Amino acid sequence: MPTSNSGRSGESRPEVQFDDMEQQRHAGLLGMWVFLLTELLLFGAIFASFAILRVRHGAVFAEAAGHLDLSLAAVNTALLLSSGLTMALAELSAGARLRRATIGWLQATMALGALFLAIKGFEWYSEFRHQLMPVLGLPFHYSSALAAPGEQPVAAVAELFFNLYFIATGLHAVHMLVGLGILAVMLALARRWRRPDRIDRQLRIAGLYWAFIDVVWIFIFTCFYLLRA
Amino acid sequence: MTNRTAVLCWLGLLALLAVTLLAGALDSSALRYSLHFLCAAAMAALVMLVFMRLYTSSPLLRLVAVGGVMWIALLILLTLADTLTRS
Repeated sequence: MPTSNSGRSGESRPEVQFDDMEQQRHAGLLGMWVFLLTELLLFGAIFASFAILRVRHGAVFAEAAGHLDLSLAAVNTALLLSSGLTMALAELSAGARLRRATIGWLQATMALGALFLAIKGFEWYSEFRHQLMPVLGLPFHYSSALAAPGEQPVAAVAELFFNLYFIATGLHAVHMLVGLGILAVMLALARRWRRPDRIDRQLRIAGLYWAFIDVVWIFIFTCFYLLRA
Repeated sequence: MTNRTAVLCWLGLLALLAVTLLAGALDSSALRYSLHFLCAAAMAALVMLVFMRLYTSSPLLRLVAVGGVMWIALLILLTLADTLTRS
């Protein structure tokens, strides 16, 4: 009867509910994809809210986007895309059973992710200093050359933009932190290197999560930073 | 996925990032916004196909991924259609 213990060759045997390792690997990937779709719904609600408000208050949202630091966001985008590459290389190294390369690429991915968060933190601090952070009761002061759109003052509409911006980037940062935690666990497992085939399977699943964070950021970057006046 | 595919994908992503940043210099906001979203869609597709390995995945995984993207598109489009057509 198959068990979860590794065989004499060092390769794992499938869990009892699976016919073979390929079926088990496929089930793991499918489970992660289904989880990511629930995450997509979470971010989708934010993007849907943004789309409605962006269409209704186009001029104010475009002007408010101009207050965000596009240069820092572009650097951050390049860092995150590069971390996608290093994560893919870590997966490939684990697949080729290369311990040192796996560890090295995982460390590079974590360093790029941490740098992304540091730059994001600096950006938030800059927005806080300019009183553009309408969260937790912090003061919000916004001056505009635009005429009031209908009954709402411009500052109130701009505040909506910054509310959505901090919710979207904050939620993304939380996902980055979770991703870094997962990578830290994977790094510890890779250092021990007891079950390489298992590390390979787990890294594939962790890689899906990291790439998903990339995809979400691409749309945050496009919607909040690029759609400016 | 091979190391070469991964590096080529990364170069493609950086090129698309450069294109979307350069598009910011265009005068026409309609053209600019269209280019931004085209680049974003292309970047997301590259990440999903190569880094998430959808191009070599089983048909079931591809169906789940495409279904998810379709659902989120429906969510946004129908919500927009509802709110924007109210008098």
